[in-house]
Amino acid sequence: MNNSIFFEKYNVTSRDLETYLAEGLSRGGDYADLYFEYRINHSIILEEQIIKSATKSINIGVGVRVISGDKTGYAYSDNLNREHILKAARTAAFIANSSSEGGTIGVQTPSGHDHGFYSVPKVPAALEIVDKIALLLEADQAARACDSRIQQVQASYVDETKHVLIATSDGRCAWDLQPLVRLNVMCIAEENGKRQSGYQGGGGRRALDVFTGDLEPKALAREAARQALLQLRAIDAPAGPMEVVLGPGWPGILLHEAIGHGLEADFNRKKTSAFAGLIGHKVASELCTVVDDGTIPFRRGSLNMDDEGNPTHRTVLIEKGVLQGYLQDRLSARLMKAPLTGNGRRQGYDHIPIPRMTNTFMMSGESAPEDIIKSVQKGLYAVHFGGGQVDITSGKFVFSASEAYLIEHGRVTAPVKGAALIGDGPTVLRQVTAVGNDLALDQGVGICGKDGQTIPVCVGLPTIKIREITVGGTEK
Amino acid sequence: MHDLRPAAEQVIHRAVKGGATAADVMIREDETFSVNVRMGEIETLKEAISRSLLLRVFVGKRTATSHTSDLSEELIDQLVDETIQMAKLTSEDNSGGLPDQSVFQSDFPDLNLLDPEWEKLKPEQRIGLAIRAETAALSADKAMYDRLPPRSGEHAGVFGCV
Repeated sequence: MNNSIFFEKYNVTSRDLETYLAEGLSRGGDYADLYFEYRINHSIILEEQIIKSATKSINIGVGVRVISGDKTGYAYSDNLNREHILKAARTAAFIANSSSEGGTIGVQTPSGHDHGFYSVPKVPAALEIVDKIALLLEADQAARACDSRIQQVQASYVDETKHVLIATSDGRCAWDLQPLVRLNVMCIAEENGKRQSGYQGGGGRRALDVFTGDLEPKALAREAARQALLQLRAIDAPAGPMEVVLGPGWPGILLHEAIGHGLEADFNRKKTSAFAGLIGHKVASELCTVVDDGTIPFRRGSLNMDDEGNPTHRTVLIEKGVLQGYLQDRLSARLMKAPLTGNGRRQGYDHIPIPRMTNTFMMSGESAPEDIIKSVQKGLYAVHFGGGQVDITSGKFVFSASEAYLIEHGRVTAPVKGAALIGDGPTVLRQVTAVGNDLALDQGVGICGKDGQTIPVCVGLPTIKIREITVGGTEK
Repeated sequence: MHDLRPAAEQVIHRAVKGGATAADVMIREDETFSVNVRMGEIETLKEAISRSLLLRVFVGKRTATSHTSDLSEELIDQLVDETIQMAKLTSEDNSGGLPDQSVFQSDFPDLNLLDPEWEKLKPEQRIGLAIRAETAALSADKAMYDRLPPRSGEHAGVFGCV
């Protein structure tokens, strides 16, 4: 595809874009932009060994944003007719209240994105439903074949094909086509009246070819089954402060919550983050280098351009323990006089872009993971998490570990259930005492919510050791 | 608000003609107005009217659903056909199906849930309400001035899997 669907199918012209933007700035205002979106989602669910439902969803619309100082006016239309868009532009314009003439705006010849991080031969929306269903059936069969104690399997397949066109009052115009697929498997194992569940999922900005190797439906199903079965023999988690080792990959959600959100520029501009005003200060152990990188090919959090039309970057947030900068969207970057980082993201045309993460991870260190385990006398080894949340202002977080083990005398021993990790971001990073050489990104399942907007993200971590973290256990 | 019933009936008719043994449709029209204020000033103001259509079809005991924010006739016609095709690819589900006609209700009692005064509120009045609430919070305690975080909802989370 070498042109945007909005020009080809919806006959939007550069001239139209200029007219809408001029209307947006008709009452003054410093800046205006347009975000056209055409998004097709498919979702198929397998339950009780049958394909229970299939859903197709189409969302089309345009959002008009006008910025005046630090105020934002926003309106959107799910109708791409000229009159509707002009009305939305007039509504958004109301945020500015000078009567000055907007003047004329010249929009450059539309160009594609700057990168090519996820070109696919055929977009997910154009793939056969039967092929998507086949993935679910394969997962179901593989999970049930693992063990007779696997009593229930739920599997879901979701995909997204998103066309985006962005035009700005400073003359830029860019478009992108963003594919995204994900397959999740949940197993319930049952034995002697006890029931436990296990989850595994994977995907990325690709087509169905992503589901090979570790992401093969069989492999995801076996992993979900393994976790459920493991939990059947898990013992109660110990409680109290203790040394904790986090495994590589998905445990990066701890980094995402505890550090990542606190480094989003809006919270820091308003000084509501625990990290506000700390650039150049040591905020973490010198073993920690934390990066947000939206430019990794095919990853769930990757973008050719952010939702404000700016190219994504590799942004070093913390280098050897020292805070380097924040994740910026356009508004915060301008108000903080900071460079753009390509982190302005939004859920859709009906939402205002805000600073968000892309793929966020800690760089590998020098320790061998097995040496990290050996160095712990008594502690917890957490390798998989169900989810977590953070209070940005205090930095306090809580996570529930869905797979964790005791570490006793340098060895990983019994699996434990119900362990929750409780702490605060600024403290936990200072307590990192070892970083492994095994950085891994998660397999492509992250969904991040903020201000009522959910977006796909990716997290990553090498094995790390934290001197002390409070474990909310289940031991009586 | 438009009368959405004829449009809904047309979609049902189209679905039945296309091979659905049963179908239900929901068309909604939403009016959104939201304002965030901070330190007595508007921070963000958002306004829109949007419509969407949700269709569920049954082909025997098989089902599929679809949703669109584009209510153009051409697209809806195509989507109805695609939804029926999708339904044919799902499995037979004995617990699926529409509720019996006799329990379907379309004449609802007015529970007095919508304050008619609300619709009369002008944007300036709505903004005024937000500013009043913030001012009250700021004046409740000196600490609110020092910490400056009057916006609520600054929580974020990431959720894995299913």
